[in-house]
Amino acid sequence: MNEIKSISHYSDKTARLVISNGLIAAKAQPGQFVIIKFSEQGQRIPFAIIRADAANDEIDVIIHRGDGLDEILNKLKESDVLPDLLGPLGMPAVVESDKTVIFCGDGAGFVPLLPLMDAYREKGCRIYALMSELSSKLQCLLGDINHNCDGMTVIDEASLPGTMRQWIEQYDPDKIILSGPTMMMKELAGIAKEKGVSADCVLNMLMIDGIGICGVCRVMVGGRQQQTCVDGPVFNAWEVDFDYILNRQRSFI
Amino acid sequence: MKEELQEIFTRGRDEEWRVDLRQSVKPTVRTSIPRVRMPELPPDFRITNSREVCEGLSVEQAVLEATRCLDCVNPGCVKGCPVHNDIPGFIKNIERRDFREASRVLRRTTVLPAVCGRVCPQEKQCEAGCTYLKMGKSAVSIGALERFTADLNRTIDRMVHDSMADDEAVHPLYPIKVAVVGSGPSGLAFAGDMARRGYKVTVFEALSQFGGVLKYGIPEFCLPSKIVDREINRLRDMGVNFIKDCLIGRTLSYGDLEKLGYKGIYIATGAGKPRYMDIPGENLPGVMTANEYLMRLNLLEPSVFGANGVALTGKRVAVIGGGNTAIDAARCAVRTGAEETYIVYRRSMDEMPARREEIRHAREEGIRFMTLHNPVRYLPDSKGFLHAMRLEKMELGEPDESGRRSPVPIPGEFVEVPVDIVVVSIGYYPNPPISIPDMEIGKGGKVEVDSETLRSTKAAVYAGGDIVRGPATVILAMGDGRKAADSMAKAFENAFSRISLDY
Repeated sequence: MNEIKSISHYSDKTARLVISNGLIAAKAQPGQFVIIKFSEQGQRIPFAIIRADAANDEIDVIIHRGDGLDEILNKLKESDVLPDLLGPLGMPAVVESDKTVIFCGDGAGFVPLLPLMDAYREKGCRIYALMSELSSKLQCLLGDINHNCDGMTVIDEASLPGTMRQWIEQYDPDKIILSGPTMMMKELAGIAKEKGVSADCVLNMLMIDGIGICGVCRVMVGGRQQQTCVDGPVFNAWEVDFDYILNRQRSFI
Repeated sequence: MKEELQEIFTRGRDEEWRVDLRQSVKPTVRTSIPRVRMPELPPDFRITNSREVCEGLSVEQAVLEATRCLDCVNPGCVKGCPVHNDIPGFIKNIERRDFREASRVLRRTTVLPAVCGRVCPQEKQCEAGCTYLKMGKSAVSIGALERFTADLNRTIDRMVHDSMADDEAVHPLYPIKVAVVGSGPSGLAFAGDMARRGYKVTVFEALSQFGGVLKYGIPEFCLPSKIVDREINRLRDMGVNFIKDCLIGRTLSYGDLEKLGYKGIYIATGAGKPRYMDIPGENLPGVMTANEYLMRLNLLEPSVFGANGVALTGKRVAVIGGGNTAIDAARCAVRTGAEETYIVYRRSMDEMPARREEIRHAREEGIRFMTLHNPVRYLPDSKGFLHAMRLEKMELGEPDESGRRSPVPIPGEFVEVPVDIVVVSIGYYPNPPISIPDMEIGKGGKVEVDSETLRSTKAAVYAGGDIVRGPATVILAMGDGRKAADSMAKAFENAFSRISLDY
């Protein structure tokens, strides 16, 4: 258990790990995540479960450099056994069927959208992907996203809001799903709300335990305090207080 | 106290050696001995590291302290102990230097003596019932003696490699599997008792280390993690199986446990969900929960401060609350380099729920107590970081339902104190067990159980410790574990007795 079955280095920034863990593979649902410790004394880091394959007892996660993970990524090799892997954590996302959905991600933020795209796809939804140039540099994602989409566009970060407005007119979506930097989600959630399009966001918060004890990932949603690890990570983007998150995120340096 | 227990104690007291021992030293001589002083690291040294502050008694200190005990006919200490340890029984064995037997006596009623000797609030429990108090003298240092017994025997065990002493040998009687959810004190106590009875016990823990609050809550300098590890290894020796990184309700469901053949489940998931005061500024960067703070320090490498990226060199830290967790957090702050550390508490010193010893240690380490103050708002600087706390001055009013005089704000009296970090430690809610069907969850997320048997509204599922009580103490949680083991075992045995092979 917890053995790394394979590592695909998509780029010098990003790698996909296939990890053996039958228990998590059997239980994982789209939107859920795992907490990994790469070394006995390492940090506990949350990762979205990108794929869960119960038949082969394996799950995939995508790790992205720049979160202090450089060193870990350099050392990691196949057949290594992770000391700790806990999951699946969080609430499964509610996936609707037969809808038109725009997925919008910025940077590594697109990663947690992949399993949701798969899930919506399976339910017969029409899927459009809008991503920033930063995301597109993660070559791995492009392939995964492309094969799942009815349409895909890559633009620079600054143009995301403008294009989103345009797409809302063009595709008349039932839902928008956002993931990326808090500022970007705040802006796009605002547009969705203004246009009356229901929107979800996948929050990427720091966590320690992942089971609702430390309070690090607390957020305000619809005026109520929620914990991303237990009540999320997918929340109604209309209701999330992004300013609150922006302010809290500054404490972690 | 149970009658059978009372009987064992009385029989023990009437044994010949014990009668002789009682008569060998006159009571006036016994009472003339002053209470032992626990050797402690000096404050200015201990704040530079995470070494255990109390160093433990030497053999001669322990024997002398044991001599103080008058071996009362009707011992008040036993009544004050939530698990009714045979306190005179183990202490008299120390006096006659049979330390092995002292340990055996303790282990009849407790599985974690090394832990309880360190973290129990003895002054409110066993020591509060000591006859010496009636004479206006200091109580026998029961906690120190309990710790001494556990520590010494652990050392002996290591030396002679017989960690499985005779009395610990397990006779597998029933090939029945029981599951324990949570590896804190309550789960460990339950596991130990069930293993001793011959059941096959598996403990499931969500985090990466076993021990629950003993590991991530109580700091290294109060309870070294190696002590907890040894207690856990002792349980392993008894055949208890431990599984980490397994969140019951997510990784495995309660239904899975049933399918895997577990015939009984003990839920001991604790109370670690932090409470907030819901005052303005509580979510500013710089304000954190005690759990966040202590876990950052304890969860990864408990013997090294700062390994998890928290360094407070030169900072001002205020901890809100007056419980043991608050004092622990403040003492951690001192050790991680805080320049000034405050405890902000809304009542007075007398009402403070923390152990007296902890309060004394905190004072010695330079922590300042701002009692009768209550935060009303945290203020940001121009960049949005925590900058100061606004405290309201309080006075004591009428006693509330807890029996303590309640704090009442003095109108218009506020003070502003500049501060860099605030640690909120004002209590916890139970960690709700995730997705267990047909179980009644009561007020504030507590699991509803029958108070006699600790059985929940779901058959074969028992619960105890903080998940039932709300935040309480290690010893009460342990007591629940033993109680639940007792009633679960009786339920099984009752079922067996009805099996007939007469067909």
